[in-house]
Amino acid sequence: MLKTKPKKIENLLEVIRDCIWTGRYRDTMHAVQRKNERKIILPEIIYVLNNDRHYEETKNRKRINL
Amino acid sequence: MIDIMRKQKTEKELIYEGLGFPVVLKNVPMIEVRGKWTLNIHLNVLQKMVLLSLAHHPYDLTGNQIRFIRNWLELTQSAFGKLFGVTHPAVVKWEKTENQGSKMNLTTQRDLRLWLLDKLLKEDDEFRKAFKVVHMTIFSSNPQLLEFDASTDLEAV
Repeated sequence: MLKTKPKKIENLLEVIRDCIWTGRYRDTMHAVQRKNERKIILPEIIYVLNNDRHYEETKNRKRINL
Repeated sequence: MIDIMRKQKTEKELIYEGLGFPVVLKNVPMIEVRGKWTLNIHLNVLQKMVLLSLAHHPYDLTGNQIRFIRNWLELTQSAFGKLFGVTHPAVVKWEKTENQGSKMNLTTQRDLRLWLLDKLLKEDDEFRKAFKVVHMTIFSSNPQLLEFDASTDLEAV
């Protein structure tokens, strides 16, 4: 039986930010494992989802700013 | 509403490593999501509880714990270093120790803990009480695991 695609969420990032703010998100064991492999932690992911980018400037951007 | 239909259970003890270092959680509510058991706790509350405990924890902060604090405060290594009068390489050196004691000096460690309390505690009285505890503590150099009982500790915040 064919499953119908769920309806597309228009303002997805806003919905995600709202979920983060209210704590309606989960950290699966699989995600924990993958994060540990990449040495990424939960607050970093939350920051990126809230601000669209990471706060550590890349070397290239630093050079441009200089 | 969807959660009611999902299988749920309570895990007696679980080590959560999503914050970069092991945290022992007791009596943790779990929920089955796409066939896998997942923590069913408020992760914003857990992070705040962990930060508060780190401020009081009478053991040397580990590199990964410092990294977690810095990331939660949304600071770069340089900005974090500036706050405590150290250079960017000093922060790198602390964080490189990963799950071992960072060997951060005692006064800097106290500064960091007090600064963290200042960020977390809004009531002056709470801060004063916590200040006394942190200021009088001599931190042991052997790192110890943080432990939380999800049914009581995470409800309190």
